[in-house]
Amino acid sequence: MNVLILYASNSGSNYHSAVTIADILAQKHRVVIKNASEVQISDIEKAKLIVMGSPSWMVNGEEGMPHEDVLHIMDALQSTRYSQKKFALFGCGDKRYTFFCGAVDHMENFVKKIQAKEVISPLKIDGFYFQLDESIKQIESWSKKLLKAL
Amino acid sequence: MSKKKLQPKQYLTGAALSTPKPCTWCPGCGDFGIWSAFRAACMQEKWDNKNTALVAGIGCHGHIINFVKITAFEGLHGRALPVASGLKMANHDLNVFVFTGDGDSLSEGGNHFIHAARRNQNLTVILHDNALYALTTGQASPRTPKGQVTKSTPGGNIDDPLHPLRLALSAGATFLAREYSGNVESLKEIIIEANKHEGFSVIQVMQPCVSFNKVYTHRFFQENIYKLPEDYDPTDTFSAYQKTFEWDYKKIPVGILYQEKRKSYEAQLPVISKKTLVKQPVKKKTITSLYKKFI
Repeated sequence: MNVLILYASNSGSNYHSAVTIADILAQKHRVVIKNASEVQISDIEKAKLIVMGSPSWMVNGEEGMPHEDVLHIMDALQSTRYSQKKFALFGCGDKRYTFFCGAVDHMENFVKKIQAKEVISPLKIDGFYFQLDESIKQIESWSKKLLKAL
Repeated sequence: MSKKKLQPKQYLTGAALSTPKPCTWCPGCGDFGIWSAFRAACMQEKWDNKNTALVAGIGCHGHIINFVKITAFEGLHGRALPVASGLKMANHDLNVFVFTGDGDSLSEGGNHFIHAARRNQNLTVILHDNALYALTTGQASPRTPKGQVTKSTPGGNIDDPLHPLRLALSAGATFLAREYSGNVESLKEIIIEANKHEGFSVIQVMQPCVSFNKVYTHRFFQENIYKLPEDYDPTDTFSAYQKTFEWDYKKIPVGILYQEKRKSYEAQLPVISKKTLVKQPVKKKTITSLYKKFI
């Protein structure tokens, strides 16, 4: 299966998560990993599964929003219907903020809107850098579940 | 066979580089990107406690030495470079990395920065540039843009900022690079190249302070940096000098701006030409005859 891992990252935590997920999915699938700023519509078209990850930050005065580059992709695709595409969502956040991993909730709404299928429940990582061992274990375990679900 | 990409599990966790101290930077801080890139470089190049030493100045950046298990020293404010210079001269076999901030290296330590560049000392300087003093909660630094309101410049900063790469180039540094802290993979490669270079290497890392700098944000750098083209010639001094003037919207170059082959300071010291200083026996000398000349 062609898999696109599309991520946005500020401090690097979503990047590390994306690389970890890619390593596990690559055991059985053809995986392309791309920063959201470099993703073209054709990349989305080629992939059967899109794994999408974003930090949650304040954007235009609203808290818990997806990264601007992820928002651009969602805006560009929002009127398309992708009933044949599979999605899996992840995000790094921090429970000390009001909207913990708010970006993941926005991405879930987007997946529903374009009528695509969300393969497994999304992964929300709390304080990636502050509990690295646990975070990486959590990402690995979620990636293995995703691999099994495909 | 292609080499398997290093996994975050290898360089972010594990006993080889980890200390008992968890990171204490603010969530979203650019320092995490630098820390990750440095650890990945350590893992890739097998830098460890036996072949590498770290020196940090004072500031948020300085905490990095608490989160990497390699012997490290913390200088007084602005004095990371003199400590590093001493270290390198005592044992030039070591890879010596200097972590410093824009305030630390360009203000308090400005003189050391200029003269270490002039001497072309064989050190790798990783300059965490968040364009203010973040540890003391956001006062203007030599990198703060003109007009920016900070706690120490409530009416707007009246000073023009310093450009560390331009300063280093004119002072005599022989390796200059710039990267944004969020580009972890690329930053790792630059750190490795800088360490391979014999001479004074400066990497200006644009490192957003998410708590106190609302101008130089992650988004600002994501939108305004561009990678130097493949045909860019880093050996051309004048091109490099021109590049150091590029700092504008959509116009901030990242990559290796300048590289020149020139003997380092350490390579010109006869006393350490055959052996490091630490491997040379201490010779006891009597100075009685010298005293007698004057008494």
